[in-house]
Amino acid sequence: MSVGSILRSFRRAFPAFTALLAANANACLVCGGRCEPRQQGHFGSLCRTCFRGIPWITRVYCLICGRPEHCPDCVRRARAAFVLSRSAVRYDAAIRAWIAQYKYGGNEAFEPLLGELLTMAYRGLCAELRLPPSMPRRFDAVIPVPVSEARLLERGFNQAERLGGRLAESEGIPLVDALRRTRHSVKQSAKTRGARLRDTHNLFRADSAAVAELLHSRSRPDSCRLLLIDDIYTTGSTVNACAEALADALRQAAPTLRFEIYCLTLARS
Amino acid sequence: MKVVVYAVAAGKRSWAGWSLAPEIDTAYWLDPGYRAEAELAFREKGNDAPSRVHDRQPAAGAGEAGEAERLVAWTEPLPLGHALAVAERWPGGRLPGRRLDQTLSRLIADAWAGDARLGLPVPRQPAAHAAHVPRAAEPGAGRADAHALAARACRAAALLQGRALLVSEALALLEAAGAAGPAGAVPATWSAWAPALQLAALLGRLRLGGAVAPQPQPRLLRWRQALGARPRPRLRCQRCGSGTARMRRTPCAACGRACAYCEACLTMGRSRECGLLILGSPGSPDAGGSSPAVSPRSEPIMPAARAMPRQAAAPDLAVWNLSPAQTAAASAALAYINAPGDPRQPRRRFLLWAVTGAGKTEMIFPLIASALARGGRALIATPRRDVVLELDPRIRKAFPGAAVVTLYGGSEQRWEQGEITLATTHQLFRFREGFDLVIVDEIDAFPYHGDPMLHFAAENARTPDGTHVLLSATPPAALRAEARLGRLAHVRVPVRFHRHPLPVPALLSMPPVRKLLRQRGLPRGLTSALGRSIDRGAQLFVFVQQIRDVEPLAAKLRRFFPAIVIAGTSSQDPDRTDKVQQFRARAIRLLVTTTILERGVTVPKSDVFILDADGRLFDEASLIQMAGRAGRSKDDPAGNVYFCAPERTRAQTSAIAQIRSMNRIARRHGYLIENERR
Ligand SMILES: [Zn+2]
Ligand SMILES: [Zn+2]
Ligand SMILES: [Zn+2]
Ligand SMILES: [Zn+2]
Repeated sequence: MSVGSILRSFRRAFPAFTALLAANANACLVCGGRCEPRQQGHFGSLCRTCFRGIPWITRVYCLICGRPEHCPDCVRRARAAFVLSRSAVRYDAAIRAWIAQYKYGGNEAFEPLLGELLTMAYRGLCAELRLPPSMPRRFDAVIPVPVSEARLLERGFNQAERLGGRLAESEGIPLVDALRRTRHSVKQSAKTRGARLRDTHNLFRADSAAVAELLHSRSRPDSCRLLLIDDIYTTGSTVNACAEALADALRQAAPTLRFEIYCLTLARS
Repeated sequence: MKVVVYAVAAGKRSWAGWSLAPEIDTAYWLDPGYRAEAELAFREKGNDAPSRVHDRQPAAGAGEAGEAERLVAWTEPLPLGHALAVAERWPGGRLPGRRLDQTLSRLIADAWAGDARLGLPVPRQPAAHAAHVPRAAEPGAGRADAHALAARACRAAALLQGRALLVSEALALLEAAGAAGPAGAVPATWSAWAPALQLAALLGRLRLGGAVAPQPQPRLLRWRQALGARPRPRLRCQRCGSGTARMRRTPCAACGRACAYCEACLTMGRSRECGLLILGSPGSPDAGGSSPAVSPRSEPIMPAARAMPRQAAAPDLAVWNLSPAQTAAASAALAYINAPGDPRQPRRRFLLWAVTGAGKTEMIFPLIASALARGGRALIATPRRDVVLELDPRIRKAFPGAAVVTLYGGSEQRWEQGEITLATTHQLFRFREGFDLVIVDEIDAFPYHGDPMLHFAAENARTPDGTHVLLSATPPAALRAEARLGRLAHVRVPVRFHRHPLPVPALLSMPPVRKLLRQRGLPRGLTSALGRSIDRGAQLFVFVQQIRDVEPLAAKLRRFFPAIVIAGTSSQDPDRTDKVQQFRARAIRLLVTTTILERGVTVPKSDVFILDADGRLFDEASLIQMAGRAGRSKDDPAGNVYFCAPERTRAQTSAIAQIRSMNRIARRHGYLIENERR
């Protein structure tokens, strides 16, 4: 039984899991100040100042990667395996701290809040693509970017899988853990841009059983729309490598299928 | 993490253990030759261990246990949380033949059933069973391995001595110490160290446990459980002592179950139910993983076998150049520290209640020296990082020959071991039974005061027969009551080092600051008192309750006293350090501030004005601390203190009463200079 399937069974049994023993519900998650109870959903765990400080991306400049300013990476990339990518917020100091607390510090109390950010990005993406909420299955699957087994054991969770899982849960989309990381790479942040692009080549592969599951559960016979999830979009090399691996596997398993891969991340650096 | 759970039957006894490296446990229990070799190597090495070590005979437990007759291991690794539960609930006693296997299966099934009862999802289990582990075909074949591994285990145990570390921290320490041997640059990996740590635990030189673990059940409950009562899991963070209320349960990929982690000490790295806490203090040998991580304090570990006998003769205090009051206090503390422990008082705490400006740092020097003379290690902890940084050069100067380690968040010396350790109280989480003398300074200061987690850490940082010395000018009421009732050994230092009485605050009736700021003028009483202080050339501290009042009040005072430089500062002021510096240098004459400067800042020749002294934020301790800023120097020992408020509160009157009472005691003991003149 893989770790992924254990986590899936957890989620099915207990959707609101991490909120289980939440203590001190009235203090701001970030600064400890007083919360803003009128805020929607999990934004209620923030005080007014912290909520107002969220650096939303309201207007994109690069239509491919959703960057709010000029973007050299997308121009340079010959062919992207994904259609486009959108992010909820800019990767500023505050968001960096939130994600670091969650991912490296293991403060899972941040999860509902970060999940909510991702949901906001999802709504924006659907609006942009003109996919109305009334549409039955706007996306056929949510697919998290995987982390290596060693990292998973060390951290205890894959942030993309958790956040994607929350989105999948709230939007009624199947979460399919379709990708595997073939090797343990050095921390992305410690590398130069060139090294990063080189390193991601063949870093991921699709799991054939999971791809079969994905094809089986799709709603339309001749086409499918997939949503790749990650926490941070930096150069796009990670999500692109994931999309490539996924596309290869889909082409092999169902040569006639038309598919589109979109990306959604929490933050755009 | 997941570990291998096993059970052993030996004569009349049986026990369950868990292991990071099951092949080590198997060889240790089933091959007497292997065990003898490991014990021998350990004893050889044990002597040159660099630090204080309880001289124990590891054979004691093994001898009682006798030859292991049967060992069965569960074929699938289990979440550490469940392994701990199985070991904790093991009934003990004689379990012949298949009954050993059955008991193991039953307890493991119970552990998962416990999850289900809590409403936690239980993943489908792969088929697993208790498998009999056969004896090695050639007994004693692993002798060479045993010897080499024991040497590594010994090195690890010595380096981890007195520590309480998570796996990542322990690996960082071993790596920093270059414990891998000559090729020290190799990063320490878990797979390389796990067997050595496991052997050290088997030999009783380290204790391995869950970072969050079930609290040992009282006997009565265990008995009820045996009759079929449901066990109620009570988790406790073994590192910070927090209970279930501070736990969060999340699905965990590392152990494959929904396991709990502690939110209270999260900033110090995540303490988790399936995460290991490595305690570098001797446990009972052969306990394997079955001993709880925290040994009950009521059973000190072999105090008779202590390597360093307590010193009977009173050390010479003259070298420290202390005042009579300081000398008396230091001698009282030393007498307590050096007295044999009272088994009815396992906590061994001593309160040094020294007025502001008494010179407590000098008083602790002889205590540290005495601990070092016995070959022990001393720790000085304080809640505030700036105090640590300020103490550092003074300690190094007083003890030039000693290895001093200074610890705070981000300190370079994080993994070093010294004779004297200086640390913020948060760093104490990383120690367990590591110091013969633990001195906690400013016990009533934030964040130490009112934080049970830091108290837990401080209490556990000392060796079972070590002493915990508490320092404060304003001990919390609970401690004062304990001292009064004779439950807490203590000494009072009622006089400052310069031997002049403490300035007694004068009450000045005036409206609240909010109202003052709305009025055009200022009350005559206040302006004339401020004017007198300015004229006499003093530095003026003006304390207010609210940060928002700091700047408006400073502006207003500037209009009334245009001839001097007036500034305001608070916790939100980025230039605070700079302004305090200028205030010390007399470039700023009057500083409007909040409780942020109530302690620590010493400025010669200063007067203190506390506005809104009846406010909620100024309690008795805070008032005494602020008043303590006045009259600190030998050249201007008197100083003036004013409590300015519309009302006289209990906090004000009791602060004045406490100051007066200290002066009275000082006078009675003949500590004041005025006594000598007469
Ligand atoms: Zn906030
Ligand atoms: Zn772009
Ligand atoms: Zn776990
Ligand atoms: Zn804790």
